[in-house]
Amino acid sequence: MKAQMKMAETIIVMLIFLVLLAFGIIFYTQFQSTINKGKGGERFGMFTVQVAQRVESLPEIQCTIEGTADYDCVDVYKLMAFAQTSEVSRGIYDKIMPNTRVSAISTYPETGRWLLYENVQTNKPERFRNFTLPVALFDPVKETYSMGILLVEVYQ
Amino acid sequence: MKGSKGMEVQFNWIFILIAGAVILAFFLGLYSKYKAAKDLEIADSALSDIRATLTSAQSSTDTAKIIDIPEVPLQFKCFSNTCGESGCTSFFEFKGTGIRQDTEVDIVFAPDEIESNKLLTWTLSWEEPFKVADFLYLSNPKVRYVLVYSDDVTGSKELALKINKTLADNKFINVLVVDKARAKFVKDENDYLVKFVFFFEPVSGSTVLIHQTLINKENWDVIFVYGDEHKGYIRFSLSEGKMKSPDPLKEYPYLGTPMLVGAIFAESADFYACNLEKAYRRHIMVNELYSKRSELLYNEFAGDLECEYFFDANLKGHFDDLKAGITARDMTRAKASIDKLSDINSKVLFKDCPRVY
Repeated sequence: MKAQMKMAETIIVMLIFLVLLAFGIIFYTQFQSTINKGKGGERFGMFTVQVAQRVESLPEIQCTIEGTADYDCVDVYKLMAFAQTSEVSRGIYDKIMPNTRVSAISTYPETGRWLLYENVQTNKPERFRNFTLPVALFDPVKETYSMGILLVEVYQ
Repeated sequence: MKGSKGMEVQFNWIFILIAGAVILAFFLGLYSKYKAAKDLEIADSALSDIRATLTSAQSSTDTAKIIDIPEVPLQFKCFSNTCGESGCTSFFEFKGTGIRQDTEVDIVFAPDEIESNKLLTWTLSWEEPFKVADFLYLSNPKVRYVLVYSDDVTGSKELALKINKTLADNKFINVLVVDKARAKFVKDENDYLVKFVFFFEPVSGSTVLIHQTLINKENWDVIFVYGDEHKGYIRFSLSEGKMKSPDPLKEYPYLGTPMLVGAIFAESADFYACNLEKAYRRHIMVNELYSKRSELLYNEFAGDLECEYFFDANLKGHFDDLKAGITARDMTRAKASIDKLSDINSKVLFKDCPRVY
């Protein structure tokens, strides 16, 4: 009888220990998943910046002098040509700019907007970020520069 | 009575032993899972650091960097038979972790595997004649590059010196130029790898002469280059025991020095060929864009006899020719079109017209 009591006592202690352990694990997992969600957002933010950097350094839109790129400058005639040819080479650009919409906006002295590229596959995006890059828009015919921005919208 | 008491004590000990083992196993399991998750997290974070470095390196040409990475083998794969409209199946990953970074459209030249806690990153802009892409070069900083020329072969020394100048611009690259007679005196200096680049063909059918310390350690490789700084072809090597000779089945054309430098950084011919595919496809796309831009400029200058002349069908013909040359991997034809486009690009400036590229 005494032995049975002792056994029951040990089992109860074990059960309490296991319950506490289970609570600990549940708490840890939930805490970890909250951290991971935060990290996911942070990573998506970083991914948006990387897509924006890739867009800005695309030779397809950059101003060039004898083939050498002029950073932070976009050639307006390249923008127009890109808007027409990017559909043909869609596969490659989908890899460079996944789930992305890219627009060029002229702000001064003239205002205007070109939709360069659109590949938004998600109907209900979990996350969305946009990134604006100030650029000079160069018109090679008039040889003039306008102020503008490249708007890169990335969805997840 | 005494027997039953003895049984009880024994049973208690067995119970304690089993319960202890279960608890210990549980914690060990938890620890191993935690460790595996932590290792994956470290590899994942290192990979995203590499990705960030690569993106910034690609947007600022000619930058060289050394970055810290975990000392887990970093493997590079590219399958040329998968190349299509959306690039090639290509990625790099930390071996065994399953964490990979796709490089389907990125043009990367690297050895098959890097096992080091440092990674050398470098970019060069590929301009033929217009800027097409930034090539990314990755390597172990402990690799030594030995450029070997022959005075008997026309242009061999000039090309070796030109490549030496390009590589020496990167302060992290260990490069050396030697005459063919001195190549066999280049010893092992505890290098991770010694990569020889022969700018001539060794005596037909023969293997190259290399110092015994390198042969014993098997930490060397060789490629053979035939051509000039604009175009030519590269042969990877064929192993014959511990020796190596040019492999005529692994011959690839190159266009411009960045592509030639790519062969120096790549370890396997297949990996190089796969990245060439990506580069050629990108060239065709950018070429298409410039052709379309010329059409737009031609329409804009309709009636303006000075500028209209430069953007007429003749110019489109050169773009088409260049595309055909690249598609057929005919570098002589491609180079002829490049020269014509460069010529027109210089002439338009005198007439105050927009540049072709």
